Amino acid sequence: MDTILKAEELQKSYFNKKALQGVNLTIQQGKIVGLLGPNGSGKTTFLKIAAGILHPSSGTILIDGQEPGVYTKSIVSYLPDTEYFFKWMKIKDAVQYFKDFYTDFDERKAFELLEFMKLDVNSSIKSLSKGMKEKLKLTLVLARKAKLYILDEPLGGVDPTAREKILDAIINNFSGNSSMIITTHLVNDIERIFDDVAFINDGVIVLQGNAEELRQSKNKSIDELYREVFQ
Amino acid sequence: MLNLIKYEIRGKLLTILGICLTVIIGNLFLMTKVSSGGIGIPLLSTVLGIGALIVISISTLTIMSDYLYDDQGYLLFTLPQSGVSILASRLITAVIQISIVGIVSLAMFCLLDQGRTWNAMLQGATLPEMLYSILMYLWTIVSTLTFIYFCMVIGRIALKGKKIGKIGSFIIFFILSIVRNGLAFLIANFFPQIVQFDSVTTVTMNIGSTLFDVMIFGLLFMATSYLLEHKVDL
Repeated sequence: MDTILKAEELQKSYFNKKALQGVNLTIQQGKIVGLLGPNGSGKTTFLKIAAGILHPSSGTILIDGQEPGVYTKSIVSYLPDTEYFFKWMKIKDAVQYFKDFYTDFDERKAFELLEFMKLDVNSSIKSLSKGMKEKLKLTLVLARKAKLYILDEPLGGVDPTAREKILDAIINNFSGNSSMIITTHLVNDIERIFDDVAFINDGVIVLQGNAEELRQSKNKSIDELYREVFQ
Repeated sequence: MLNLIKYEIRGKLLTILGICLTVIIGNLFLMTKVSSGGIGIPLLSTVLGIGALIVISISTLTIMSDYLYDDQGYLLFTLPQSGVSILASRLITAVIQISIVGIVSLAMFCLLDQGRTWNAMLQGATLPEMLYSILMYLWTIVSTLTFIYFCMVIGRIALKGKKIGKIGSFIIFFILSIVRNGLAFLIANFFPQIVQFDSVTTVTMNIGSTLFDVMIFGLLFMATSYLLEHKVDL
């Protein structure tokens, strides 16, 4: 099986604070990986490095065999936990923006997802609620035929009904040729879709493995295991 | 890169329109006072035009700072675009913005002045001199903004906080300006050879300091492109 992401001894320091302290992580093609940890554990830092918008202090990270850069950005579809759209944009402008910049963007799929999410293409983005913006971001990210999807807190700030909708969208639109890495605090809601999980604390991976094997060997759900590791 | 320019212009459209409308309305108002104003009216129109150019120039600086310090950076820096594309698109966008406002201001001034100053400027000017003026206009915008963008990017990388980064960028700009101008002065003294054009006014260009400026621009452009692509952390 092909490796889509390989991080070795990845470190990131901010002045005297070490956000990552030698992360080793491999993601295989076709897998959905949950990167789980409490606030400040280094999850977002890791994802931002993989997305190419943060640069490691030391160590290596390769995506499809290459260091983060122009090529990897063309094959990585990244959902940040920020609201990054231009204020003047309507939903249709955001769709056009992705179409203009990403050759792997599937406009037809984007409109299908917008319909599924019940979002009106003529709506102004600044008029959308936080949950609707989250759905829009996810729509655009999933409408790409990327090799690696990076989702940072895709369920953050959305109500339980919207969570289900978002999870359904993720599952229905994930293809076996791609890989996905997801961070979340809402482990219980999302653990059913994970193939592998990695627990991160203080910038170090403290436990990782196949989700089903971990459940069986520890006789616990991933959510229970998460609470045990980070209690 | 064309798409980057397209979206940048679209984002600044309201600003450009607002400034142009202000210039047009301001000049129309001045036209109603022409009969009573004497030389003061064209002067006020010039002040209005310069003010508009200052505002749009400041707006071109936010083209870079918004991406360096605000969440919009996530939209730009996750695109599969090289640092050269990003920087070149910012510079081209700035030239377009400033030119639109400049042309509107000049056109309104000419209407107000009934073309007298414009005709006087063109009288005796040859095609090479006009091309030289256009080239100098583009060069001034592009080289100045490249220098400022470099300072902004350095400030962002070296100083992580938004406020301290912006203040730091200004200090870096101040120091590097002194160094650059000092070096240009020394070079101009060491290599005093000049080129001179006699036209409406006499234009003198020191060969040594001009080559130095071109070299500095090239270095700063490549350095800023590299830093944008490889060193900026969001």
